Amino acid sequence: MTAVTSPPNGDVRKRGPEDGGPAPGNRPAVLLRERPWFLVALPWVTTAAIIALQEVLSRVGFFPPEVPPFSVTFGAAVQLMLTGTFWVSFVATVQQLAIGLIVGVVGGVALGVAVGAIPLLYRLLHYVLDFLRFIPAVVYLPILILVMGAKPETAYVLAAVGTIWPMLYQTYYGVVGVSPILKDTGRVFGLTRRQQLRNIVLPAVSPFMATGLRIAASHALVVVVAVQIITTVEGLGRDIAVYATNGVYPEMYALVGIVGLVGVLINVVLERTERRMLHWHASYREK
Amino acid sequence: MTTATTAAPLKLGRQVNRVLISVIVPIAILVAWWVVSLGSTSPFFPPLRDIMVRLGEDWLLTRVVTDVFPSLLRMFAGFAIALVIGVGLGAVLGRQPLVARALNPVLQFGRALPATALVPVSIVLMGIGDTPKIALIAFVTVFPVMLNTIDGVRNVDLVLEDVCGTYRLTRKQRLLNVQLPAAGPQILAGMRIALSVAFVMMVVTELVAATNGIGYVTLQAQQNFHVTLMWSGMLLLGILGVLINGLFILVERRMLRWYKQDSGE
Repeated sequence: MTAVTSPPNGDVRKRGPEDGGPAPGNRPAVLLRERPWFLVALPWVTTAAIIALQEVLSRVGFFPPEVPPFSVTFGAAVQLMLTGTFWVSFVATVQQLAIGLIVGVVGGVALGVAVGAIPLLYRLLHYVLDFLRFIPAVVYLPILILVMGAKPETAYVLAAVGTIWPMLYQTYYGVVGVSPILKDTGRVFGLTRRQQLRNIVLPAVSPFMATGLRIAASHALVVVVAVQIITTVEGLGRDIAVYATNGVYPEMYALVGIVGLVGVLINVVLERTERRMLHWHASYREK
Repeated sequence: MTTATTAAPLKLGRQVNRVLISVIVPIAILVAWWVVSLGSTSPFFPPLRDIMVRLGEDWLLTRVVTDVFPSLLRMFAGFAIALVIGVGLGAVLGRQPLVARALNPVLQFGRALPATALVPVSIVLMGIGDTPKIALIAFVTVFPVMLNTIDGVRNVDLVLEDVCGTYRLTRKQRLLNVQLPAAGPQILAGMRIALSVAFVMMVVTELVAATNGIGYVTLQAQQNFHVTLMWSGMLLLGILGVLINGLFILVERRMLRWYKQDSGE
């Protein structure tokens, strides 16, 4: 590789462990190096063009009247953000998501470490766990509404259920995947259990847990929104459903867009944090 | 794998033991549920025996045609459409890095948007029949399939590419015989995510607005306090979720046998 072919290219996405598969030929396109300004601008320009196209097509009546032009939807979004009710729903959504995530992460990691560290426990439980993990969280919704009612607590529980399985299994894979050589090395050097946990197990497991958290967060958001739509528990999902039934379409699309941006934001924040905290790990290291 | 096959005769007894240990807890849970709930008078937790009777007589006899098949049909129709479009478009975009880059923000937004938020939108645009449900399931599951296909096709081993050039394979041959199989593991990973999303969407679309389907009957049962029917519906959904995912994993394992052998796993 000569100097011409290897300028730093900060935009090559790192492959997380969940993507699987080796990537031997991970080469950026030739064009990436020659005209970076063009490539940086390209996604923005295209996105703006798509929005403009939607605006025009909607104005000329290509879309049904239920699809307002982008400018109207955007205006509705701005209007909404000036109201207190929007923020009440927004905070409720974030709160349900956060509580569900925290409970699910704690439970999932604890169980994952337990079944990963104690082989007998895994033998005893793996059929049960393998059965339960494939039941989507929303399946429990009818009984939860019956027992708990349409309350935020229902959303907490269901988001926790959606979180616990990816966390449990990622943690488990991480724990059983700790290299035996590393473990033996730790023992030979006479590390205490606590040191082994902190310096050997935790670094090996953390990339798996980071992946688990990313999967869990998007699961939990899907579940929380579903609970809000179905049970009218306070939140952005409920508002979307209410605007939909009342025929207030610009507000409906505005909220869908905002919920989507929340999803994007969660992904970006988790990915950035992950990359910063795990920069030492082989799968995140810059070449 | 190798140790298991060479030492199989010796360890047969041990393996039987292992299976026995593994089934203790599941059997204990089922027996406990059965026995404890047998005399239950709680309005929320009916006897497991009654739930099983409902599951057998109601769901598996009469509702198979009216509710179970329609649900599964909608799910698989949506999933199949997403598969064709996702792999097709993904393969094209994977070979056109500029176009893929241009569309990246839109695709990432589509993937990050929580799918359930679109259920009210699909009802506004298309109503509550079969078509909107299938269209919605197809729309939300296309993203994981397409993005994984793009990634997989783009990252084909450079040596393989050179081999294609040396043998002067046509574009079509390259795509069908080299690039898509090489991307197989990642495409299947995307399909697995898509399948579980499709299942969730099947249930949620029916919980929000429908005229038939497993989710619809289950929620109606809950609202009318037919608790046993509700429980049997939940049980059926749970079992279906396990069966569908389990079957997919078997298929995936079979299709990826060559890959595991190659990579020496």
